[in-house]
Amino acid sequence: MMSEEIFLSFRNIRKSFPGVVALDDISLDIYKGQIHALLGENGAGKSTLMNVLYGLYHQDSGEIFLSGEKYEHNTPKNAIRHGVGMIHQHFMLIPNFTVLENIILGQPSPKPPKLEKEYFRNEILKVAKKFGITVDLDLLVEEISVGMQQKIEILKALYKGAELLILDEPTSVLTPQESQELFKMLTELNKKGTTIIFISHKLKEVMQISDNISVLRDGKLIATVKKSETTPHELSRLMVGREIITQYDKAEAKTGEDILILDAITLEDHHNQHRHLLKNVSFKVSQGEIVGIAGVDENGQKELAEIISGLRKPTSGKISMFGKDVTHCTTRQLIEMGMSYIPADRRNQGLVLDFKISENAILETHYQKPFTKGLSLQRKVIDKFANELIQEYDVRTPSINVPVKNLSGGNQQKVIVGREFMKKNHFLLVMQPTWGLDVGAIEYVHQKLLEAREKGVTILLISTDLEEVRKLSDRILVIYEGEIVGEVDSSTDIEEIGLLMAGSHKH
Amino acid sequence: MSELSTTSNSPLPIKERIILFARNNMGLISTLISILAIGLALLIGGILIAIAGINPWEAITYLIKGSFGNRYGFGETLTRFVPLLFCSLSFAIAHKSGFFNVGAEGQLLMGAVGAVLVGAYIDGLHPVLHVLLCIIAGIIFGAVWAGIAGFLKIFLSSDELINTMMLNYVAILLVDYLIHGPIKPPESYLYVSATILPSAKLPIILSKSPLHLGFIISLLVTAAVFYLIYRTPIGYQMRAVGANRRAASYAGINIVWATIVALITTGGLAGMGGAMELMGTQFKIVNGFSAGYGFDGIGVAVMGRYNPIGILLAALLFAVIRVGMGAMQRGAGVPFPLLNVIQGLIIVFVIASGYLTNKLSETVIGGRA
Ligand SMILES: Nc1ncnc2c1ncn2[C@@H]1O[C@H](COP(=O)(O)OP(=O)(O)OP(=O)(O)O)[C@@H](O)[C@H]1O
Ligand SMILES: [Mg+2]
Repeated sequence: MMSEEIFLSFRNIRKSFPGVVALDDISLDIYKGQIHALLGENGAGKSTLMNVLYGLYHQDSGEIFLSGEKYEHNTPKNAIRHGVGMIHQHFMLIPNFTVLENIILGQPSPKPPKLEKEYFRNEILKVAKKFGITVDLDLLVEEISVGMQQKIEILKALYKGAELLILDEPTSVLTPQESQELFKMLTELNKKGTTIIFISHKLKEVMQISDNISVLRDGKLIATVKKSETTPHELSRLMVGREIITQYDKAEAKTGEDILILDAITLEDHHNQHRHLLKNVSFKVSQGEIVGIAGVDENGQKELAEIISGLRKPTSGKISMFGKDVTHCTTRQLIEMGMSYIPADRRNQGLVLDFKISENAILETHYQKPFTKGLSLQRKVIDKFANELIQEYDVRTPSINVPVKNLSGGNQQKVIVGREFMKKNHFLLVMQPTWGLDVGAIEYVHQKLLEAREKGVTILLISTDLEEVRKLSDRILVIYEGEIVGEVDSSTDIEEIGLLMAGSHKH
Repeated sequence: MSELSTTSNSPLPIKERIILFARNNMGLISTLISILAIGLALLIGGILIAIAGINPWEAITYLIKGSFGNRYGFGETLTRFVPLLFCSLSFAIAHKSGFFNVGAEGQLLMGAVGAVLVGAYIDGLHPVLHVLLCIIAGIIFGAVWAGIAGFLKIFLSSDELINTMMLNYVAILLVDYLIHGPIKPPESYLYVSATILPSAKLPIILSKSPLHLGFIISLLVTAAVFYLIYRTPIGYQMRAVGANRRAASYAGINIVWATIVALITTGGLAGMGGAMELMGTQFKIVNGFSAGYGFDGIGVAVMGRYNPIGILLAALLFAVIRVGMGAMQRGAGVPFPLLNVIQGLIIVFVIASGYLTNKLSETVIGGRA
């Protein structure tokens, strides 16, 4: 498997955006048939490097060689023709098309103007069989899980003849089980000769599946090491340039009165009255404690968060916050009472991507003093606040006037986290707060959460990352199919929580 | 992340120097490209005119002389500019708020109806008060007309593009009905509305020309509109809802309220444009009261790329073309359909140049996001 043939090489790649050098003289070789991981802090340039290869951006200078030949005119079309397949972090599938239709989208039919679905079906099944992928081509994409969608994206790339697969943070949307399945599949593909570039912030994953690991920092290639010759410790030091704390000293929680009380919350499915998205959910969170909600994705966490934050009304049940019945309060009223909410999906729920950083920084508070005085927004005050935010939360950007869509994924998350933490708050509802963050930034956000707890802020943490939940929470509730199926404390064995998350109480 | 040095002394390669220059002067470059596009469209128009057997130079002379070569023409151009500007502001603000309003034509007509009701039938008011009341009536009628489409969108989520478009035709037919009976002066044998009273007319601000106070008002309103959308909390909310409804609702922004304000503004602006046209220029509603201002307004907004300076310039350009073309037709005998072709060419070229500038700034800045 370890051939010494170079499949892809970058030579002195440079790429700058206004005010930022995203890639600074990168030279890197990817060997054929290997799994090569790219590591680096948020904004280090990983995605940019891959986007240059795939032709979404053009390098300012430098060259790319594919199988020894100079590769010019990098466009996505040309990349596919040269056997480069990219799995974007945000999938590009059409929800109400079937899997088959999605895969053949844009493929020329062998007998135009007829679509020849059957011909394609056979061809795709051949490829699937060759790589050992099992799929049902007739399901609608909206019916299948995120993990499955990712499989489809991979199959699509393979069908188009990909010899090199690029996966940009593929596991950030997956459950741990789905991640393991993905790795099995990648190892399998790799055995059959596919070269893989894998981007991740999770050192464990990188150590699990890669052969070689390259670390980027501030647009520069810091090192390329063999997996067998390194440790997670060394990697995190290379990435961040310092030691990372992974275990926190937590003082005993000094709990006060009950801040959030859910009383028999039930939510029926709009489309199907007999299905319950949430069933009789009751719990309390007291002042100064962190309560974690653990669970596999899609078990009602999203609905629960929407109900607590006033975006959705429960079918029945009562919620009170700060001693008041808030079942019928609007989101804005809750925010004004001191609730902060970090939603799971930053691109759709947390940020207005076309807005500047400064505009996003005041999304919830823009109408309050000092941001608005009289009738007008106070631009100077807002800019000063936004500048403080990017300093304090280390958002890597040349200026606060950059639209957030131009920030790297992790830096987008930092904008949200900063915004919510800098607001006056008494109750924090956080969902996947460290999604897409690098190890340094994760440590920072965790510290901030613990600091808030020290100050007496009440925190409800909803996360599918079990380790995160265990590390931070004082108590853990496990949610399964819209029901709270158990309560454990944070020292409980991971296996045991895992079993509850999988619904073991039912058996 | 090192700062990109733009002041380094070592001579940069020529390509990078061009890119740097372009990066720092995108505004200038995009203006130049637009002007070039207009020139190109006129060149092709000139060739077409020559093919039609007319001396293009003569035609162009008429275009320029007619639109701003003399006092009267100049005044007429700026008068035409007023309803165009209102309609393009209407489209632009709806666009920023995530609402596709192609109904300015109907909203403008309804605004004129509102103004005529107050202007012709309420007597004995002080002129200032009378003018104000007429304008308010125009705004309300326009806003209500847009509100119907908005209501259908908010509560029945039916598509506003179709709704606003259809309401244009309803408005045109409704006005036609009104001037055939309900608001036709009994003594008139023409199908027109009653004429507004002198106290409701806008004063002329440039003697020996049709230019009226509405011109000044339209400039003030432009400033107010952009202040509203970029500098006030509600404008911020409208833009947030337009750019990402979901994130806006997660942040506690009241979507329905922001949408209602957007609707009132978009409809009110078009309605105000109708009131201005009525009170400053036509004084009564006739069949064909609006020379397609509502539709031209869309072109103006797109051409002006939704920013204030761009919209002002584009509205002026449209007004020049509209007035100058009349002169071309009368003076040089250029047939009307050909004039429409030339106008169309200008629109297409300028919009295409917009895409070109977009592409260019993408390459300069380094790719799509
Ligand atoms: N289209 C763009 N316009 C301006 N700057 C950009 C653009 N795309 C990326 N950048 C900047 O380039 C730098 C590298 O970004 P990139 O997305 O490659 O980071 P990354 O290593 O993938 O980070 P993350 O782990 O957060 O995804 C960042 O500072 C980012 O702000
Ligand atoms: Mg990235």
